[in-house]
Amino acid sequence: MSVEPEFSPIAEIAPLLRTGRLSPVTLCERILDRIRRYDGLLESYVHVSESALDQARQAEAEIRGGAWRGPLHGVPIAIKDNYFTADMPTTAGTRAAGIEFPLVDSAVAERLRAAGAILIGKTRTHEFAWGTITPPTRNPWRQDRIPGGSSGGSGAALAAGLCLAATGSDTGGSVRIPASFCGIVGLKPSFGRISRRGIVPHSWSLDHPGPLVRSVADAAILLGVMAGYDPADPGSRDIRVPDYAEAMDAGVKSLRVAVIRNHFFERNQPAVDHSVEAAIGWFAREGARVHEVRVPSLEHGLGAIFAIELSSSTAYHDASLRAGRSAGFAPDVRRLVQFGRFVTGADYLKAEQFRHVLMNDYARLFETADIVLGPTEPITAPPIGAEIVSLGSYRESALAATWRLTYPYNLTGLPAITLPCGFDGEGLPIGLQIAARPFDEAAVLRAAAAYEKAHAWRERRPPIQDKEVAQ
Amino acid sequence: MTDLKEIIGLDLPDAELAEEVAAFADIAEAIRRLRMLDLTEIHPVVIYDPLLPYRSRES
Repeated sequence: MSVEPEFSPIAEIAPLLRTGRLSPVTLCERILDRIRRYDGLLESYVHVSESALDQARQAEAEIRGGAWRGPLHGVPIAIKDNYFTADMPTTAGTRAAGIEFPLVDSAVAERLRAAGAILIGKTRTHEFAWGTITPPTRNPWRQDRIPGGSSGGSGAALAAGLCLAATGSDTGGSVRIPASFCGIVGLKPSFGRISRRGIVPHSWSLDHPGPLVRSVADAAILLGVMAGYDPADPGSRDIRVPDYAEAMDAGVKSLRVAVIRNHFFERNQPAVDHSVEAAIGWFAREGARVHEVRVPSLEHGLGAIFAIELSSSTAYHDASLRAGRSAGFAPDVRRLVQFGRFVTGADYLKAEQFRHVLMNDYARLFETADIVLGPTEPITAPPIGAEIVSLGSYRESALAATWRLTYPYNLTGLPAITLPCGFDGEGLPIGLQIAARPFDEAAVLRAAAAYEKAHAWRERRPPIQDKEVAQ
Repeated sequence: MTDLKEIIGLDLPDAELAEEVAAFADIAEAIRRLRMLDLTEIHPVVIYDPLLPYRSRES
């Protein structure tokens, strides 16, 4: 077999699995072997499924019997450790005593199993999805760098070829940040597109489940399986899920592209600006109608997301705070959970008022645009342990810097994707972010697929080294 | 400090509470900028729905 399935998109592997040219058992064994060889260094998994090979054998038998379920049948997919799973424990990244989660499947786990996917393990999350570092996971591109977070385990595992796709959850950027830092594709769909049932809440009106994948076509496949109305999730919307594969070959000619020049281009590393400007130029050369806009209200967005996310997180963890269980949280997370007590009720409601303003500003922008283009991150993956990042003379906390360009799409609930658009001088990936109107994931996928097809960024592999997992 | 602890419901040692307040400074500044906006006429995106429990029973 000439292909390396662990580094191939699902869209290319699925036909091999369907026709018997690749065995789900062989694929699963290869992935398990890679986890043993490389995850001692990366620490991207917190649990590897004991039934993975049994799931693979079942998939193989079904496919041989003519009961192929679709492109995820027999495909090893990792699950972020804040999604409940019936056959693997969920910790949400916490070791605090007295906090337990049920052994039941989340809505997404149910859907992935029904599609025939092999749920191969649980990936590390920053504790309670509250942070963008995900310690102690390392970035496969440079092991002295963070993978991003909070879905950092998913990002690192996929980039290193330790799964073929992974799930994430995105409250301020937690799918797109690790995807950008790890050089893969991450999709945060519209709020309400994918059910949050069985995902440990972080902030009820900001949490978005989404996939981390190797290609835009894979994002379309995963979204098609994960999306759908669920009355058990109060935020779920009963809106038809289209066939996203139809968007893949539409190109970008005549696509109306807005570039928001304030906020998204004010304090970026030069390599980020260079790569994103080159991408914008490519869209223009391909016949997209690119124009520049400003959204001045974004200058107040940081206060709004802090007010909502901090107060929501504190409300969710209130019982743990009162009972003293939060003493077992990591210091950075305990501090953030306590910070919600400093946010007043008026601050919270003002943030929800502001959100209305920002949503209206974006709706106005989309009267003359189909997508918005910009950077995903102002920086490439910072060093492990760096609490402050410097951008020229400007110093910013790592948390504020890493979610600065992603949180506007959590406040507005708009679909947004990141995909690689270059590398900096240290060989670290740079992400391009594309957003669109609510529930128009097809526009996001269309633009991303066209850009990806014309560039070879996806072909690069991280230089990881063997380090066996301790038995 | 005692009054502050009661208001925010955090029973922390004085020194630790002072550290928390200091660490909150950057976030407080961001929220202070939000407070400067006049949003009197803007409805928050949170909309109360008295029918919600009845709808969830129907489903």
